[in-house]
Amino acid sequence: MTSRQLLVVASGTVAYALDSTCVREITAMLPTTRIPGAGPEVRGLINLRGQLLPVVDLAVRLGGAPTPADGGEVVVLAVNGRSFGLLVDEVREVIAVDAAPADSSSLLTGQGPGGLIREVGHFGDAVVLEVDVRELATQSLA
Amino acid sequence: MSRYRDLFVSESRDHLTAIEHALVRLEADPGQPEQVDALFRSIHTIKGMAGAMGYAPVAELSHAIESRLEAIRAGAAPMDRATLDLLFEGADALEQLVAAATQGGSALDTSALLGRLGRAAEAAVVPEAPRRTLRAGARDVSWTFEPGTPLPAARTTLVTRRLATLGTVVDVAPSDEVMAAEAFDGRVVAQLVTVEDAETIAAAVRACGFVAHVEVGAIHAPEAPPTEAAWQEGQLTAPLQSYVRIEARRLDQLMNLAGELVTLRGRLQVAASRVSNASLDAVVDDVHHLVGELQDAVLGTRLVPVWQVFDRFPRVVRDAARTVGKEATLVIEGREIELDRALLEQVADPLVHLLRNAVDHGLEDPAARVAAGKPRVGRVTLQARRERTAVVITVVDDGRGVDRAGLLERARTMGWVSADEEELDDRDLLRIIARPGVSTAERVTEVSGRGVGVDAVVSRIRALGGTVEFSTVEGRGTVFELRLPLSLAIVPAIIASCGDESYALPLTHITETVQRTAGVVRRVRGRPVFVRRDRVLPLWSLRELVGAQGRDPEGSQVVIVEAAERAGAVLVDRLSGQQDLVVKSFDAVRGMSTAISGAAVLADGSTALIVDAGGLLQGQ
Repeated sequence: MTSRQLLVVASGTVAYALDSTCVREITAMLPTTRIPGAGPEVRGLINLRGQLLPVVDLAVRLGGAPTPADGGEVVVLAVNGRSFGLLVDEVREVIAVDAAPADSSSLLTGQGPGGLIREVGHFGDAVVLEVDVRELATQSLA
Repeated sequence: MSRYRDLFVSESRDHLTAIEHALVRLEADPGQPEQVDALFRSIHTIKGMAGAMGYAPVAELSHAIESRLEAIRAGAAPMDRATLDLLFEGADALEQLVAAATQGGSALDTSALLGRLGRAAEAAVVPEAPRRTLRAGARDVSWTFEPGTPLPAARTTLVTRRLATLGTVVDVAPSDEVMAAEAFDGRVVAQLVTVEDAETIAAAVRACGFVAHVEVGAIHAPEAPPTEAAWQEGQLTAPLQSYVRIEARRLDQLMNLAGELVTLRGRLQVAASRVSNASLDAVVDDVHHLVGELQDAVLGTRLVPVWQVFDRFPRVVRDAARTVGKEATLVIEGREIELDRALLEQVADPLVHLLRNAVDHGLEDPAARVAAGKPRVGRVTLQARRERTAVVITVVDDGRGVDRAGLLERARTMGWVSADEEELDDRDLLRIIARPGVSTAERVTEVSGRGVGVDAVVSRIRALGGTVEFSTVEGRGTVFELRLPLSLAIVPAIIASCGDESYALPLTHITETVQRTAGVVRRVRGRPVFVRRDRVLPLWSLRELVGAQGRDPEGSQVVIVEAAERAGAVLVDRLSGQQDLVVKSFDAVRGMSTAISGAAVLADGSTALIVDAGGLLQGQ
């Protein structure tokens, strides 16, 4: 069975996994410019070496309290040619999980706000929850 | 292979443009051997490239045209009306074949055309000159391609083009057919007339790649006077040789990087000012100047002369005139004026519309012109000129002008103006003829159709941040004036503050900035307006537009904006100077205010969102 690489990040008190094929880079949080009209989960625009990226706060998106303003890391994601940053408390590690068919092991499919979260397996004694990065992009970007 | 194909297409297009240009000139005056030579060169090059690339239909047709031209050059065939028409037709077919060849299909059956070209060529049999004649003042440049070099004929074209930048290439042997053959030994000899030394010549050949060995021979003693003088002289005027082709994407990337440097320069200055060290300041100063120059230079690479598009237009005007049975010449002025490449591409179609319009609706037919005491041949002038912050392109015809009375009556009937409207000024006229479906002509023609044109032109130019002005004098003609920003990538803007946030308002749409106290803020039908000098302008508050907190403090300023013949006012906290901004796009997020059209990094390194006045006014 082939395996998938996942990037494990911490947001609030929970660890989430992101499909590492969508991850472009990881950077410390940068100063933001507020985007008028955007929802509360959008922290603003950051300037990453000249590229402007909107940043979505994962904690707020999943219904929690905002990531503290003075910290956090940004995972730069590229999905279908569009780029945005995902703000998390910290980036932990990369793990490999068995690439099980998406629908059979997804006990939590459709759970969480907007069907963003699904279970992909166990890692040690913790359940790994994956954030569906593609769905997140579809819901956040115009 | 696809790289060669792209090269083939873009080179062929340039040559086709040159061909049309020469044909139109010949049509005006057939007695211009240098134009025939220009035609010949371009056709010959296309033939060579097509042969090397294996595009047989293109090679075959260009060969037929070339044979015909040979006969004309030798004086064995006339350059008459029928011949010109045949050549125009051939050029059109060639263009279609080039397009079809690269898209993998053959859309066109040229056998009839080939037949007609062929008969004409046979009718005038020319004794073929020996292939290798030593030319006085020329020297042999020979080189050998590495074994297995792909497409030696195409490579040879590259080498000869490179050589042509040093002087005049008189002859190249062997022929393309030989080079394309299996048995080709890779050795090519060209004759070059040049003042450059042997080393420079050899270096130029080697720079083309795949060259194993180069030899530059001595200069042939001047003996017999040149028999084909035009063939040599004309070569030096071929316009493409001093240009290097660069992928547009690379220029965009350079532009981006230069923009980054400008931003970094600002940060460096701020940091250095904190340290206060004389030698550091000196370096920062130097960096400041250099980066400025670099940015200008990079911006310059995006600029292209308008002739790259304008030179196709004599043909457009000619065809339009012939279709409707009129006579017209196109006068082009300012063809060396430069414009951002992206803008120039976008403005080509609107110009075609306006030129066809000018011929079709503007110019009278020859009899009517003579009766009105005008020259029989109508004159359309296309002019480009540079102003401080804009490039202005005008299309002028000396035709009948717009029938104001007729149009007023129609506008009244349709309810576009009030029934008691007595007179239409030029602005009203433009508004009316720019309505979709309105035409200034009383009849529908094949050239410009009904009402397609002006509305498309106006909306395209506005979308580019430009404006269209129009004036007309009945019986004398019509003028369209397009005013375009210099560049799409760099936008001069005013920086407006709102609380602790900064927003950029592009100057393109700003007519003036005034103190709030210079006018009166009122409410009309529940909507705020700014009243100043009898003008009542809808008023937006920047704070409300961007959803910032707090009330507008006293002493705010008002920016008057104008776009698409509408005006408005934007209330801001304060204005903090003007900057040239490098516009950056980003992936928009859901719900983002529609007033925002992009973002830019300011000199202090912070990011400012761009507020699009045009969008505000249109959404009104």
